[in-house]
Amino acid sequence: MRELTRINDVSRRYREPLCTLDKADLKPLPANLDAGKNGPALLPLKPDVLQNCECGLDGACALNLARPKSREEEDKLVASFLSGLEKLFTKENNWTFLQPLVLTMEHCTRCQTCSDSCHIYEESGRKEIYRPTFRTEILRRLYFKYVKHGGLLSAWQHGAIELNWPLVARLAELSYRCNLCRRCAQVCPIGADNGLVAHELRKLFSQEMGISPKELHEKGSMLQLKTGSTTGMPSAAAKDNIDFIDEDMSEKTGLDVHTPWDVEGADVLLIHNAGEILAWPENPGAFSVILNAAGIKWTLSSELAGYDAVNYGLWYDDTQFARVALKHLEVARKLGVKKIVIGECGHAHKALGVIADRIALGDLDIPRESSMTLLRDIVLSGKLKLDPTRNDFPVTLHDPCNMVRLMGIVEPQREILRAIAPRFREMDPHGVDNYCCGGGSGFAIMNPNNFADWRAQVSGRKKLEQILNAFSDSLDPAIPKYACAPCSNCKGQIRDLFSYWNIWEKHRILYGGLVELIVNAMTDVKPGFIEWEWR
Amino acid sequence: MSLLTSIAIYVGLGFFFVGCLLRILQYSRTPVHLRWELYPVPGEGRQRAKHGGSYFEETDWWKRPREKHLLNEVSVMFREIFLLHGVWKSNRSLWWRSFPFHTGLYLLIAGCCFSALGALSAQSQLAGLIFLFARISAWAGLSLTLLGSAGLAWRRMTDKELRIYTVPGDLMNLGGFALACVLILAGAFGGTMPALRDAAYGLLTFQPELQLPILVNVGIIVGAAMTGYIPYTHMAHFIAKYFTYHLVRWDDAEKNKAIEAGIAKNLAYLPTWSASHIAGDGKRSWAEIVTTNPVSVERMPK
Repeated sequence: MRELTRINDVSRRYREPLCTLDKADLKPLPANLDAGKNGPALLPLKPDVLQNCECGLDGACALNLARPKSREEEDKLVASFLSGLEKLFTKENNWTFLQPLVLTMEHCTRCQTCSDSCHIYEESGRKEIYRPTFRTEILRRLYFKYVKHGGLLSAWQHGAIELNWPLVARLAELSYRCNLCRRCAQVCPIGADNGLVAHELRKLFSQEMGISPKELHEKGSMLQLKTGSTTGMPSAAAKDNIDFIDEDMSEKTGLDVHTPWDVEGADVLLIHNAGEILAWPENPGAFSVILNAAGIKWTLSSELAGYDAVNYGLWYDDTQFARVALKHLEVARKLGVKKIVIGECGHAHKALGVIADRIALGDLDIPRESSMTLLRDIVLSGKLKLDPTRNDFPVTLHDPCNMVRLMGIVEPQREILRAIAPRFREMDPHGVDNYCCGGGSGFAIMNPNNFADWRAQVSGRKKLEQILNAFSDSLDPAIPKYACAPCSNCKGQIRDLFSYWNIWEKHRILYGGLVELIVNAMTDVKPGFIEWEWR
Repeated sequence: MSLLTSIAIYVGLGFFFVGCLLRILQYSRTPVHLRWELYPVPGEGRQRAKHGGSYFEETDWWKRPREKHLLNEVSVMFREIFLLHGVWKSNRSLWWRSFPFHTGLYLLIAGCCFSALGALSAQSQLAGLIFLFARISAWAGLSLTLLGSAGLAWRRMTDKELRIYTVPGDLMNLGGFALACVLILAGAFGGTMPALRDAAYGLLTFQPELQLPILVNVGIIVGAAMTGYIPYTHMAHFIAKYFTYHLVRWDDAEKNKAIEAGIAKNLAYLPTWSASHIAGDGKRSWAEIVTTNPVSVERMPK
């Protein structure tokens, strides 16, 4: 019988992981992708990582958290954690999410209704440490013991816990085993939010202890605040790249493609995820084709952060989040644009559209809108000449959690697809009940050690299953198929998933954005905008 | 003995209402937070609520009047509160235990209210009908609460996955409800109960001559203790749910003056987060910190 990890195991001092991931334990994939596979699901960690880093959770290592050299150093770190824990529950330090956090701490009934909604828990073969309430239960016990200063009676009522360095180290890693998709919160009868708990733990580690994934902080939000983009691409390079994309698009489409920069008073300031410029240039290129063809008065911005909608602070740090969000709003204010339109980037949608809403005060309260609605209006207005038969191949749609479940933008992208993709079919489930791609909350850009394996084997497994099932009638590699993901990070995760599982070779499923499909259907454009090549 | 029972009822209710008030104050005094809604939001416009959409699906949404669908919101609330729709949908095996438990509690509350109302309007022509409702509600409530609490406790003890998360307090909570119901039922069936009209009046007005079976007295005292204890535990989710649903999950409200004033106050707080990119020394406000670019004051890590 499967041995369950218990809450207090998180304080165990020995170095073996609390659980290991074996291929045989994981939920089988459709199309016999992993039939008969046995052995470890993840590549083993390198000896130096095992020696020097804290890897006592599940055999994966996302943080490269350095192992303390002495018990004194451990105690110092535990004291720092405790200090952060107390701050997390004060209005001065955490007014941003105090109310929902306290409600979750005090009212979860531990009924486990949320468990089956979590793709990570389900696909891992129901490993206890991935259950949405597991990390929450640890934090809850700490909360009642150290924040509410509960004694023996409290331990009897809420459960006991031993705070030590192994617990802190495991909890730090564990806060990066949740995609923050909040599917668990959606089904909670009480309204408790285990996704929020992972978010708040990440904040504690980042804001108090300076612990966060390098990809999100040093090479993420800090790099963006320094160079203007998380890609490290300064403004001049972004402009050069867009010039190159314009040339390429002009050649490819037969149209004169020109991307405007820094147009004061434009109707629309479009902000892309700058990763698109480097990884999928056809996406910003397609936006330019569509907006120009529709006669929109629009612009990009070359200001610091103005050409990169990314806001990684959303996932781990409120101050970094607010700094970047305010930069975006400031850029729009300076240009005097009528509205900001966010490109195909899910987390940027939520960051600027919803989470930043209450700090967008005074003249920084520039209206923000999704590109999905603007594109829907353009497509349905008849301004573009479209021939849906150019998209006569099976298409399915991935719903980015940030855009759909967390923002309620569900239909516009579907209205577009129904108009331009005759063989569009939904995944099951979809819309606000969708599953995360497995790259959510920053995972798509995190590849330390064997974390990419974990993403492909565990967190992305459900999405792969959904995509394969959506195309179950046409898995034959002779039929090209298109998984549409109108979000840069989701696209990156799906690319990595397809690559890991050889989906292109085995089943000819391509991934891409929504604007590429629109341009592919434009009759003014040379046929074949979508190139059926792996990238 | 019945005098003690009367005192327990009033003390239990006192603790209950004070506890509820404290809970409400605790949550309503927390600062305005950032938006954290989750769709579907049932108060959204009629068509959008069906698919979980929001006003963000509209172009230039800020220029349009917000379409609200109050009826749908009330309907969702009704299904959630009285039918436990969320549990039915997502955790059916729990629903078969949780639904009788919660319905039992609602019926017990109704039974108590009807009894009190009947006692206070004993001369009214409707008194007989009121006591009929009271008897039906009370018996059904006791039975269902007992069935539900025993079922929930049994599940917590026998389900291996739930047991990890079960603490003694959980079993005491459920056991307390079950014990109160068992005692009252056993006392009522095994002893000589006065008419409900006399019992209710006697308990409400501290009548020392009221004779209740001892088990009923003890059962009511246990029930009163549980009533007074509820608001101080996670079982106060009937209060929490107002906040988790209306002020978090469904709160997609646009800014107004109250929200802006709350945020302005929050931005003046002096955080003390220690990480180097914040360096909260308790002297700089949130507003100052988030309008400072840490890269210009700190060397970039390599």
